[in-house]
Amino acid sequence: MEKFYEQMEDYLHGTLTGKELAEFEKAILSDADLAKSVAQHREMTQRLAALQLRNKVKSALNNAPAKAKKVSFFASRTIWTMAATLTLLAAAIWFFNQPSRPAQQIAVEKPTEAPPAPAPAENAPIAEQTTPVPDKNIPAPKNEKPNRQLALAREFQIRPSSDMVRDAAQITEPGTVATPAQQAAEAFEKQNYRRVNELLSSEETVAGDPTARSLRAAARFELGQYMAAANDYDALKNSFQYKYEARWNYLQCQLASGKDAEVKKLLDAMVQDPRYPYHKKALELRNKLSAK
Amino acid sequence: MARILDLFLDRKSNRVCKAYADHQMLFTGLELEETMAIQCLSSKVSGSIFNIGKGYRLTDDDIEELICDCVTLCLQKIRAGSYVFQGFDPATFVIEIAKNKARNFRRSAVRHDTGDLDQVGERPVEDDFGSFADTELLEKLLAQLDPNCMNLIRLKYLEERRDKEVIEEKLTQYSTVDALKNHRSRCMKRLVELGATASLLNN
Repeated sequence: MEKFYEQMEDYLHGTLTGKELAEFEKAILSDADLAKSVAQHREMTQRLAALQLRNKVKSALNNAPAKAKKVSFFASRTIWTMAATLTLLAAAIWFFNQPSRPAQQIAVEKPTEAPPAPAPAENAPIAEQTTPVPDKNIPAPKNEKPNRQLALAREFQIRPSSDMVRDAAQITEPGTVATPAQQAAEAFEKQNYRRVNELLSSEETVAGDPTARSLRAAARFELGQYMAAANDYDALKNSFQYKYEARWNYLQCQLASGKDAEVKKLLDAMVQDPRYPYHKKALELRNKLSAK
Repeated sequence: MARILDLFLDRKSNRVCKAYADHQMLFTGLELEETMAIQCLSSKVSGSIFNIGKGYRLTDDDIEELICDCVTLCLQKIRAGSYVFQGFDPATFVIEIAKNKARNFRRSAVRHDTGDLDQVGERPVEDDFGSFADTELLEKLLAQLDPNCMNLIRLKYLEERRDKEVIEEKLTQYSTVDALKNHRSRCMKRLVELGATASLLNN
């Protein structure tokens, strides 16, 4: 029984195979307690997955430009109406209390006036029109470090060369229909990364095609799906054509995801290997990361 | 005036949803569980769910949890393949979930003034393991485990770290994947027992 508990996780994740799987399934059929335990473990695994998903949603909502709580507060029409009335009232009082300036003074001042700001386009969103310019004296936000890491990752990421993308998009035989990989390369050329991701979403499409996988990885990186991109770069680490770039870009994914320990380990290994093609870049990146 | 301000709110949600030009793109973003897509969806539904929640006299905090519940359930259903894209805005689906869930949301907290609702009967959503009440209880059970067990389960199931990665980064006391899995299986067994005792598990 104890042995089966140890195999439970593999069984539920579908990684138990062969003779062990057969024995496990046979035991479930003959042992009601084990069968009940499997059902309970399955449910617990589902509950943990749901908790993980909820944490993800919570984190997204907490980092949203307008937090849910604030939206709910501002969604109250009464409060909005009152706030708007008060603002209008204050603006009217201010306007009518302005001292009238002599025409001569205005004429003198006119040439030295700064050029007027361009009028906002009629169809520009109201929120954009009213957004104040950020004050330079305001201290940097707390998440400056991850943002800086993200910026560095984007700066140091090696993107597929335009020649490679063009070659991949080229249809070899005239009259034939473009494959998903060719369509994806075409979309990549047009910087439609979401389309690339859609076209290459299936593992089967990229399984035997390192170029397609490389494009998908780059597209996912552009879309901010760093862990998904990391998985693709990881799969390319033994590719003859892309292994060096893949290893380098895998590092950028870790950097963008804020995995400091992993970044340090990978970067140290690259810095210590002078034969590594991106050795200089690695040194440069390490210096930038250590600079305050 | 209120209409103008609503328009302002809509524009605000449009700004979040800029990356998702149509329903299909938003659905794809949700399939990939993109943070921006989740934010876009919640900005689209929060006003309506606020009104639904107020109809059931929920507090602002409860409504915030309700929004989180509904978006989580939508993502769960997408993951499970029970909600597939049919051309409609995913926000419509989430609002329908909210209508159903608001009725029973934190019912114990408002039981004193819901006498009329007792006749309606419970309408729990199937396999809604991501609800506020359930996840809150599960977190309490996790906290009852010893710190080592809690860490093992957190790394595997909440942070989705690979066993090899856990060993390489020395995030636990175990030096082999086998030892890690072996101990985690005992921790899961303990968590399942706690779940059964607390009546969390249906099985």
